[in-house]
Amino acid sequence: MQSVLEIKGLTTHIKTKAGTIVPVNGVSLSVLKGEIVGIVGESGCGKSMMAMSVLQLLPAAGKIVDGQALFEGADLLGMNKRQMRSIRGDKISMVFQEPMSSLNPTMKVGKQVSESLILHTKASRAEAKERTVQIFQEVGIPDAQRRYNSYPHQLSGGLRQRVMIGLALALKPALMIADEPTTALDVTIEAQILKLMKGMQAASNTSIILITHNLGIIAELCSYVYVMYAGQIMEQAPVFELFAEPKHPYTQGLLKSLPMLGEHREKLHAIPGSVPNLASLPPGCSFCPRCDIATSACYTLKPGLEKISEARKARCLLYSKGVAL
Amino acid sequence: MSNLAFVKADSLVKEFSIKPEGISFMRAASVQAVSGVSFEINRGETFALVGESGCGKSTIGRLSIGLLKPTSGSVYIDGIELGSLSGSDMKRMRSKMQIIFQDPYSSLNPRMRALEIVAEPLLAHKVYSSRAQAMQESMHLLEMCGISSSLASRYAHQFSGGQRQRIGIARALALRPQYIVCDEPVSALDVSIQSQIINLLVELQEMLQLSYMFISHDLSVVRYISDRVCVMFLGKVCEIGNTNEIFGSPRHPYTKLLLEAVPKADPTQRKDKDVLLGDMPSPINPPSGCRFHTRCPYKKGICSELEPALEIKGDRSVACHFPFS
Ligand SMILES: Nc1ncnc2c1ncn2[C@@H]1O[C@H](COP(=O)(O)OP(=O)(O)OP(=O)(O)O)[C@@H](O)[C@H]1O
Ligand SMILES: Nc1ncnc2c1ncn2[C@@H]1O[C@H](COP(=O)(O)OP(=O)(O)OP(=O)(O)O)[C@@H](O)[C@H]1O
Ligand SMILES: [Mg+2]
Ligand SMILES: [Mg+2]
Repeated sequence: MQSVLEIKGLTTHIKTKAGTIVPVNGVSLSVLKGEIVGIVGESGCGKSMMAMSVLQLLPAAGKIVDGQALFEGADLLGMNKRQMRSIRGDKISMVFQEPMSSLNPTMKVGKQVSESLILHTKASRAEAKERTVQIFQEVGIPDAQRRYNSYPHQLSGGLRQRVMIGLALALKPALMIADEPTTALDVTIEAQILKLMKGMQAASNTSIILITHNLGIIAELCSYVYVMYAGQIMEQAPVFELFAEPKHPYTQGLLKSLPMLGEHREKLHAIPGSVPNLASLPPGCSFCPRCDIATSACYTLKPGLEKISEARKARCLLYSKGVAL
Repeated sequence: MSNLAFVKADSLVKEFSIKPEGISFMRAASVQAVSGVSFEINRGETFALVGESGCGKSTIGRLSIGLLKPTSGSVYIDGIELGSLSGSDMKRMRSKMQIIFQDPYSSLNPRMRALEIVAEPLLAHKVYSSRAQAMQESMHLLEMCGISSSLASRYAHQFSGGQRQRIGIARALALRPQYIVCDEPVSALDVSIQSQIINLLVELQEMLQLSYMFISHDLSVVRYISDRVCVMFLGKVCEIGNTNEIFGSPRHPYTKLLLEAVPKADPTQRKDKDVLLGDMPSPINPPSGCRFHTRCPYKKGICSELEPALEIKGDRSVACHFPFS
């Protein structure tokens, strides 16, 4: 199948007081047409920086040092600001955790969506307004006609996120990048938003990159999953295979440590230690200080991301010879 | 049973007045955060409060340890009504009750070393005659909570989120409380760290015979840790009882839909679920009749007219005109 986005060997540096860190370290991933791809990992592992790199929205201290991000055949990383701005509005859209930060607080929400339609589709003012109300209805905003005239702060978190998704989908983008889109919401509102995203993907064949730390959301929505740790992909697999038989000790540990709604677990498995600090990563495998089955080799060899079956890869010395430091 | 209960809350009501800013001619409105809530917590038991944002969980937690005074109703700890206590008796009673917060970052003094943070309540209550003894006890508490003595002289900001939560727990244990309110103690932590803290709380409970009120919006965690659970909606109890029974066969529609909304970390259980419609109603102007009726897919005529009473059947109570059997 045709891929919409193909990231190859993306590496990003950020200058910090503690030295240069590498939040995105040789990441490759591909997103097929109409597919929902999940990226899961703990806080600080580089998920957002990866998305920001692709969209050229890195903070000033950040710099892409290597890699490609091929979107419809062209490398996004080589585009200038103007080209990138037009792609971001038109073909790739984004939804963030806190919709307040991406909406303009001084402009009515309806107007924000219709302006974008006017800018990108050359619709007339009246057409754009009509289409916006229709979009608001599609994303389940009650009383859409009246909500058109609301300011962002007058809406609840769930409604603001609907506006963002409406805005993101108004231009029928080929790709949507959603970074923790429901993390700030209550669980019943989260379920509404996830259902909405799934419906949109099914209706318009939009590809979605869904970034989250919630394995439940991954299991419910995604077809293919990348597990990130300390700036690297540790494991990648089709969703059913990943949950049925995780291959990397990190993924295994994560799944074992989840309390489950449907079953009682005697004692929760706990991955020892803490989430790594990118400024002081161990040599060798970055997960080995927390790994149950680490051997002395894990401290001295860097595992590569090896193919372990048709559609799966894992970065562990169980499957890789590793590279000496 | 009721004479065994360590904590007993009877018909708690808490109103907050909210003054509209800068509009002097408007009367101060009030919001009823808690509207007639009763429950009991036995010794050594974990009692969970669940419900969506703003339903009154934290307010109840604070009422239950006397950090807030109820507008009406009473709290009894070990048979003694908190409202009847004089200042000095209340201070003594306070040491039996502690609270742990969600945010381990803001609840610890950044200018103090871990050892001092934990010793502070011991010194303030003059538990030991010498400072050295207090420090020794502090070290003991830190080690019990998984912070090794080699780290005890670090400052709060030098610890990771999970470690800070351990320090917060060690501090809460200093005065040998019998009852601890855990207000979202793991919500800010990464999955791999959450299970460490949950396991610690469970171990401490067994060792010290603690009673917990466990406040969380994560139903999987609640299922794992609690003996009994109270499901709340907009300041009212929907359903209260044994956790396994309520999660196994919810009787209130809200409980059922809340459980269904949780994303399950198992892709083989994917299904197209009914999502709970609408937004949270405003607590300032709650719906007539049953507060849940505006979102309830099973509502009938009476639900908008008459508030359902909490029907008590043994250890299980439900407030609904048409509960599931
Ligand atoms: N503006 C910045 N300046 C310096 N360092 C940064 C900046 N933004 C992020 N970082 C660092 O880059 C690393 C990756 O951050 P990133 O935001 O991508 O993590 P994430 O996986 O999205 O985490 P979360 O789940 O918390 O959103 C972290 O170590 C973070 O501290
Ligand atoms: N000091 C206060 N003054 C005014 N209103 C308050 C105050 N404290 C709480 N409230 C209101 O009381 C209601 C219940 O708040 P509470 O913090 O108990 O909810 P919660 O269930 O803990 O929510 P969350 O899950 O978001 O922590 C909310 O509507 C809140 O806005
Ligand atoms: Mg992020
Ligand atoms: Mg709260």
